[in-house]
Amino acid sequence: VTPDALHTCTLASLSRAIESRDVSPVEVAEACLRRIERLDRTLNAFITVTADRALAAARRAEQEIAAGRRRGPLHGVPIALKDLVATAGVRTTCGSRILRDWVPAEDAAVVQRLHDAGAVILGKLNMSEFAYAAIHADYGPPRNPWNPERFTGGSSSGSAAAVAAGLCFGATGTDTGGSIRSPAAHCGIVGLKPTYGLVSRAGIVPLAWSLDHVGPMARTVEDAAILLDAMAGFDPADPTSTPAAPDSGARPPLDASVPAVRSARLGAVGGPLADATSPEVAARVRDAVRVLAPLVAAVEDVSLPMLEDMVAAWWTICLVEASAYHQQTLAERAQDFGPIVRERLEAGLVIPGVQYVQAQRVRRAAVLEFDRLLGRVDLLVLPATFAEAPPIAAADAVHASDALRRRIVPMAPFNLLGLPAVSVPCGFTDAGLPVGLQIAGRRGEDRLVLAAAHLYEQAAGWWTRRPPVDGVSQTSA
Amino acid sequence: VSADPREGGTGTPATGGPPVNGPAVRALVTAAMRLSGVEPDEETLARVLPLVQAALADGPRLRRAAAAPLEPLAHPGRPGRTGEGA
Repeated sequence: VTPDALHTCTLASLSRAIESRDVSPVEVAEACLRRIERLDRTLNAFITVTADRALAAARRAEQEIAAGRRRGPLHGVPIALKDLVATAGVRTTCGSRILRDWVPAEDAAVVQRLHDAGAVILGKLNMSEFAYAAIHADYGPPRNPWNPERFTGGSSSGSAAAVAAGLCFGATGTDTGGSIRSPAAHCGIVGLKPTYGLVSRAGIVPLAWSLDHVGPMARTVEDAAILLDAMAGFDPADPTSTPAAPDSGARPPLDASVPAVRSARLGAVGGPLADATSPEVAARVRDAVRVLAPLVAAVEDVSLPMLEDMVAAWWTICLVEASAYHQQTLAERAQDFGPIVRERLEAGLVIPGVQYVQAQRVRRAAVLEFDRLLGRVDLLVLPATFAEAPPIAAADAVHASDALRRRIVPMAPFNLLGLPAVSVPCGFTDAGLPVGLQIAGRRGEDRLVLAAAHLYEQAAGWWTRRPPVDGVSQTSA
Repeated sequence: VSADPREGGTGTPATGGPPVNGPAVRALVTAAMRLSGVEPDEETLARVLPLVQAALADGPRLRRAAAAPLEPLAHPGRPGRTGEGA
């Protein structure tokens, strides 16, 4: 692979090229930095590029690999971090004016794990202000690589844009109500919200503690699984952390889980949720179910129980927890929040405590309902988003709180329940914008979810399409 | 009668009584923001009131849908029996 074509590699294929020493980590890092320099003036995916640190890490990786000390599949691979993940010595803005100049003293746990895996970190990625689904005017919106006049989705907006455009080979995202899956769907990449507690949140600025998840974003399911392997693991610094299953990510290869997928019963979600989906997205999801049907044991139509109740519970919990976290800052610097985030934070101050507790009780009832549903089927398939990426020109309408409440419906239930859910590309709308298929499963069964997504991805082949950021559409190496 | 306008309600609490909207919500928002050290101005109130009113309208739905009375809640810092995390 020539340096100019490196961006067409997947993370996994690049990793193999580095392992076989067909390409050096320094060459790869330099190629990524050149690509960022060339394309990110348009895409606006990065808030901070850490070129010197990346090149130093790439040189270390090159020396270690040459000395026979390869750490694993991420060693020497360039990735980037959503800018709410604390990075020692590198500013961490959370896409906000409030933290514009914050330079943490320590790395977040997940950053430490990625460093330990030998990843080369290129910088920090643009995002919605404090992950609350509205971009702050100080940073401006990242542009969708498939059409720069369209949103990326959020809040892990820069993560999705950077991965889709080949500026990096993977990224971290966080997901409180769809913030990994929505931008993954809109930008045509893979995004996994893992089981609650699988990836430590220590050192990550929260939006809502009991709904926040950290997960991987990458071009393929295999790439996301490789990242998850490095990111997941018990961390005593996160009180909700749980031990990772030994085979929760890419190891052993996802193909080893194909028999489990082939014996799985698939629940194709219909009912009110399907009724609210745009015709084009609904058609792509139906096509995807047709591709999946011969790959699994059975498909049956299901409806998500307690959907409206769960959305109400999610909204109450998110409003209250976010306002609790920002309460002090709101009292001192309210004017420095963007208007939409400020509006939500101020509204959260008003919700009665009793309503918050009732929302948690609803959550418990929903967990029991889903335990029953997932006793009948092994996996759920549904659209990741109701519609294609909206125009950036419609920013006010897109970011309005009532629009957000509608947008989270297909995704937020899985945050409330803590279940693993992945978005995998499943085609395009007539406007040429990507559509995401969401696959969810039982808690702790991240691997089955990924394996099903992998099987679909390989059968459908959408993953080979690349956005036209270089002037022409491309396919992957 | 539901307070949820999406269910055709009119802001009347499920138990009856006067509507929880308009001046009542405005007073509630003003008091809650002051308790948190934020002095609301007219522009802020105009933005926040609709959102608060919509959020409060979820109250009756949540009360009705809550788990069975004897179902214990997990400690928020530890995953529950089935691991949902809250």
